[in-house]
Amino acid sequence: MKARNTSDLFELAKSAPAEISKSQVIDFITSIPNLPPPSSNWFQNFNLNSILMTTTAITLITSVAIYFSVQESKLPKQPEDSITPITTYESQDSRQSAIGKIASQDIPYTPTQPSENEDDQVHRANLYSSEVLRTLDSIEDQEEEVTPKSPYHNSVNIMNAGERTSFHPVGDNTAVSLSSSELKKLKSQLSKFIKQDQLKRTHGGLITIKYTTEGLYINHRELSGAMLKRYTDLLREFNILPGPNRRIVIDKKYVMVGDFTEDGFEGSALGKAMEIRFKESTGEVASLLHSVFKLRPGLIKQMEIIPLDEPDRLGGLFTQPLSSPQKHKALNSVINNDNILTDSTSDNDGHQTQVKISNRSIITLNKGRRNLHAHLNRKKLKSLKKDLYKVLVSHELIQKKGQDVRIVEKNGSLHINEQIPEENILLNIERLLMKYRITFKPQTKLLMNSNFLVVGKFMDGDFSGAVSGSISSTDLSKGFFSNDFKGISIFEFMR
Amino acid sequence: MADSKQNDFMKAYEGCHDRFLRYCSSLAFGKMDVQDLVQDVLVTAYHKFEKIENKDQLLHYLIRAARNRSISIWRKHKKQSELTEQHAERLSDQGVSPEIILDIQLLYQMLNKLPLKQKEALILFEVNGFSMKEIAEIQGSNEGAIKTKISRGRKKLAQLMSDNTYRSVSGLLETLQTITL
Repeated sequence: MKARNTSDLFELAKSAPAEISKSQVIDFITSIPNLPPPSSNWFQNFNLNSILMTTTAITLITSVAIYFSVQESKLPKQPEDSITPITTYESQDSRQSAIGKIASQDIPYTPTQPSENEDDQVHRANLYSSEVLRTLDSIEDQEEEVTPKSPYHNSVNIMNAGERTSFHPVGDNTAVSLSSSELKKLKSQLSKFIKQDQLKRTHGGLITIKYTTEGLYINHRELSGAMLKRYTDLLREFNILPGPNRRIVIDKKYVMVGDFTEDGFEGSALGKAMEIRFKESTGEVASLLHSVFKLRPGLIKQMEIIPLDEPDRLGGLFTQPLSSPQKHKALNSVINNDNILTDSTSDNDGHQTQVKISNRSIITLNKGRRNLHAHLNRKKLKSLKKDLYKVLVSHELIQKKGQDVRIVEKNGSLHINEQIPEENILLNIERLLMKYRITFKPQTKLLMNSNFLVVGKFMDGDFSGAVSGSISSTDLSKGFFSNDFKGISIFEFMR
Repeated sequence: MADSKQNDFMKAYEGCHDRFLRYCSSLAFGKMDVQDLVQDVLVTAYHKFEKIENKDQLLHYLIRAARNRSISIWRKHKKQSELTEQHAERLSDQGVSPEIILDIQLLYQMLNKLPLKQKEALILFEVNGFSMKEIAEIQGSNEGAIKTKISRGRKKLAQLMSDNTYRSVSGLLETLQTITL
């Protein structure tokens, strides 16, 4: 080898004659016009290799899909006679439960503490823990021996299949048992239909469906005609039949399908573990709501949604008893970010009358009047509360955060808890309020404590503004703010 | 009509031949037959000659086409060892001495070990004599990036060369040991 240095090598390569002589290339160029033009056929990209690769992949995927679908259809189907009502075993001292679908003739039932005045079902409900545990053991033994495993058996939510003591059968209607994939499909199809039919009215995407023998209500709207048929057909596809307490609740993070009773929830759920309580508006509140807002009886529900600190739901049939009232705020703590009271009707003038206390934290009770505080969402209200407390504490207008604060305008000046702050402090507060686009007029009030923040116009028995947090009945009737809430219709309803 | 096109193409090609062929040789070395590559590129270029706006830029077009074509040919064909022999034969026919052919082949072998863009930039600069600006135009890059590529390519090539020398010497020593034993 002559050279090892790279630059020398490059020089050699540069000076060396071309591999193919110019005359050869020129000869070739002269022959080009006689050659066919280069093919630009798109199909030339397909060769045996690509065809084999794609067909193999498609065949594999199809066969796997067919294989698994065949396996699912091969599951033993129980004759309808052998399917008995769901039996729920529920502890008197514990809220967890176990559910099993078993043949009724196989349950060795030993009544305890018989009472002459009570029927058979009541006897069952009064069983003591130890006795029921014993009974259940025998039930489980027998179930293994006698009955083939029901397809529903595996779908029992494992998380709740722990403790059991007393039991009471839940009625005769068939419980909803859907797998996670079925729930996903149902959720997507229902959401699609509801979007198409413009039945979605709540801002946070929450959909509530009530399905009774009397009718089907989606977000409190009763369906009829072709629309009703469309939804009932869809629900029938998923074996969801009407029932007295049957509801479907769909939110971004969860879906619950089943019976929402006073005892709890029974059915299938997927996603975040939630407790949803529906409460019929009864008595004075209901009559007031019906008379003021001209709503049909039975339409207004108070619905409380409580996130549970439990693992996500995975579908299948399970029972979720209500948590103890001590654990969460009482139902009569009325305005809560997760507490939704919503409906709307049109009055004769075509104006919308809307009551909405939801995550958006905006209440509008005005007929055709604009809510000046509609821009204040929950996040902004939270931030406003934090900033206000910071300013008030730093200027020693209050001693600590969380104290009751009332800001009102009197004689052109802001009064904070009936005091007029110094000018520079006032300027700071006004600047802060301006930041949140809150301007004070004679009827404007800002009320806050550790539990809530209310800002808006209190005028002519109406309130128009924004609310964040929860207002308890004590706050409404006795506390520091009782006079402020007095006579305001929406707060009066909640007393 | 066809004759005038052919004449125009030939006229434009004449100035490109040496640099184009050298580029194709370095690109095809050990991977494909340079003649196939040159023919493929020329046929395509001839049929699209009307579409080439600036006929002075034919060389740039040919180089880009050769690079794209070579990539698709590499995908289809496996490495063919006899191609190096063919390369040597062709150069020998042109009157190049065997020692120089070996050196050129060594250079091409080492260049093949560089990343494609570095290799291209180095060949275009060192063998074909393009300016940094021209290379940047061909590669759709900027002068700074080309400078970096060439500099890194040189360093890497030098390193590869020294490693190769060491291997050759150690190989020679091994052969000597075997003969002594």
